[in-house]
Amino acid sequence: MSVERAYGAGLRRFLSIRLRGAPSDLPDIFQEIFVRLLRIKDHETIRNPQAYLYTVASHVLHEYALKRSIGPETMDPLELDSALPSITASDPANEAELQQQIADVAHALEKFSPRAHAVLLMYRCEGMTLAEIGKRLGVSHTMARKYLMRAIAFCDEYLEEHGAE
Amino acid sequence: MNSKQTVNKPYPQLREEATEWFVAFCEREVDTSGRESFDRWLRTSPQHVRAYLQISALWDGADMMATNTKTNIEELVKRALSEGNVLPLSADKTPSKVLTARRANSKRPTAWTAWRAAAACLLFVIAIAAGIVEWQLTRTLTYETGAAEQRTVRLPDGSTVQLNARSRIKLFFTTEERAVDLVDGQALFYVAKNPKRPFVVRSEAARVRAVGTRFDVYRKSSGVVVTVLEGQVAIRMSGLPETRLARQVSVVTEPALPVLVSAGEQAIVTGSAPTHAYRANLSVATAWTEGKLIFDSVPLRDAVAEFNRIGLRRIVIEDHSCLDRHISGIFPAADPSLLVEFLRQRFGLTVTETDEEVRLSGAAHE
Repeated sequence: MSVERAYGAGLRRFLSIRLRGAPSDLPDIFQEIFVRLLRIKDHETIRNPQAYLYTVASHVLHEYALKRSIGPETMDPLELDSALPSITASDPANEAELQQQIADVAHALEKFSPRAHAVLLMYRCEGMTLAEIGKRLGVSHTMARKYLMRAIAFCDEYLEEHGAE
Repeated sequence: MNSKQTVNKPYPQLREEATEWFVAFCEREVDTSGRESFDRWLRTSPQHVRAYLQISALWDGADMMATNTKTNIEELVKRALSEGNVLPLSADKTPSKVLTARRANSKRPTAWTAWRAAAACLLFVIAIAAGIVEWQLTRTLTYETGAAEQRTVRLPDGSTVQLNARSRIKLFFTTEERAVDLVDGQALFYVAKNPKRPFVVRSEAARVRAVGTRFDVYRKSSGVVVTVLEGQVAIRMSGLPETRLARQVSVVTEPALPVLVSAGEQAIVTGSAPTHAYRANLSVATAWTEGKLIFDSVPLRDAVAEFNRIGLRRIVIEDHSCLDRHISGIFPAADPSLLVEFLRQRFGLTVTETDEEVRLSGAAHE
């Protein structure tokens, strides 16, 4: 279920940039990821397009992080994590703020639709299947899935509107 | 929130599509031709890439919702149900006929209640039938991961398995035993307690038996590495059923004794016998679950092999003289570029990079 786990750090960094780093850099970052993705032959990526996307994205983000921190000449991989600027998720202050923002999103979602909120939490955090969730809420599997999609789309939209300026 | 139409809202329909794809991947519904069309979809524009990555990142961050709201399912369900049967969908998209009908019908006549009871009975029957089918299916289930992919699977007994990249397990669940074959790679097991139905992981000749515990099994080329995080496991070798083993033990054959591995310990099974348990560095052994690889004075040869086992891009070291040098460090598993940079500086190697391969060549002067 969580292919993205392996790229957690990269994706978390994304979220950070979007929410409090420099969202104006994002278009360039996406452009770069897109271009690199095109460079990979499609018969390669078809086997696991999602993994390729995440890998390419993590390379690009990593380079972006390097550019914003100290020059690569002085880099020691052992210290890199702490040397990265505030956009890294490993910064506790940043992590706390991110948590706060996620909490806000969750709150907004709950107000918007307690069901979509419940479905998202049960699915994402409790590892329940859609069938189990459907049973719990007395709705069909298809309906549970719709709630899940609605929840995700809502959160994404919310972040789009309330993210860092 | 929905009515607030912002000017800066570039891609509402892309968001819908991305969500659709994302959920389909979560639900593992995407087959080969699906992957193909997803790949095409992704290659359409940077906006598509953006939409999908933002959903993914959001998904990744959403695990923090749990710590924030102190998830209590009962409470959640109660609140969700009190909402009534209204699905507030943004606009045109898929407000199902059933829901709208129910909504209009909010003052339910008694016939409705009877109908509901009947429907509930029917659902119950269907659920049981589905349960049986599912049980049949899960008996020989296989789960696998590809390059640079990790996956967490909930087993039918409530146990959870976290699979590292390029790993495969097969389930052989019976009423007496929960057997899992680790065919390839590495997996971390969180076993649901059930003393009457022991949980056994089989890999090569090793049989790792646990009752409610957390442990990691890694099928390496050099042997099967078993690391225990919680509880205790017993490793014995296959071909010796327990009763016979017990008899043998009471007679003479010392090597047939199972090796007990407790929390914080590790044992390696090479060939026909496990080593004795020894203290292990747990954070090193399970760093992979956080997408990291930790090396503590490991020969470069092994470190590179570790990266190549799980990664998408192969690292090829043409200068064999440095393969036996030891390295230490913490590296992101999905991204070999840090290791490459480290090697370039440390050994003065020249790097040639493509999207599939990273070649390191040139003499290492020190």
